[in-house]
Amino acid sequence: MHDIIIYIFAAITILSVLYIAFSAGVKSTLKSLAIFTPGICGLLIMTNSQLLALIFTLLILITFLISYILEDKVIKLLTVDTGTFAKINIFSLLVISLLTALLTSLFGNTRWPMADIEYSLNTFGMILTKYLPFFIAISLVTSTIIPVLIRIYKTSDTTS
Amino acid sequence: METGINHFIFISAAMFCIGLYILLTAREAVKVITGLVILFAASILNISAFSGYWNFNPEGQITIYLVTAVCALNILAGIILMIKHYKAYRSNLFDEVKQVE
Repeated sequence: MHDIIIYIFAAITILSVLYIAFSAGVKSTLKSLAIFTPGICGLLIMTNSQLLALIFTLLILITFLISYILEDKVIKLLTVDTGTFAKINIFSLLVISLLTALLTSLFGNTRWPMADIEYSLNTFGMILTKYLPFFIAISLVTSTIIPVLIRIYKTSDTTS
Repeated sequence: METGINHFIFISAAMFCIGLYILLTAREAVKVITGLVILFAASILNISAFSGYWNFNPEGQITIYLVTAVCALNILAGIILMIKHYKAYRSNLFDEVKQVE
């Protein structure tokens, strides 16, 4: 039963992604993105990442709500439907895909140095001790990117 | 056939390749952003498979949240840049790229 569920979610994910790749138009892209979300969330739940699946669903839901409320503005700003595809270099695509496969296999075969964490004693209080470096990294990245975004927003207002 | 972690690696690799194709061939801004979402989802699925398939691994989960935060901020930055570019020049960035080609 477990295997069949994984195959169903994988089929939903891959088919919706393929439909996005070969469909023309914004509405069909957004519809297949809505089908893609339950597929990827099911796969994430299968790998014990329930909270991440919930966050992913909420993010997509908020995006759809915003695009529904501001439909006219968003669609006009973000779309130019020319109906033609750009010419791409297949060789570069192949090289990038091969490098990705190589990196994936390296990640799979490497023995990672594990942090000294006793999983059976994993508590919320460990956020301030064992997990502190990760949260410092996240807060540093966030505190760097958000001011840059605000600066871009403000400076482009003055230039326009 | 019994499923294992190889299936998740294969699915994420396929998603990554198709997302890359969407990113390189997209004509509309929405499609470019969708391609980026698919690329990031593929990487998240890969990390998630390695961190949580056999048992729950908090280090992997934290890495996933770090990647997710960076992805969301990057996509937000891209959307803001496109909207600002449109407002400043009243044209779409991808339309200009097509003209250059």
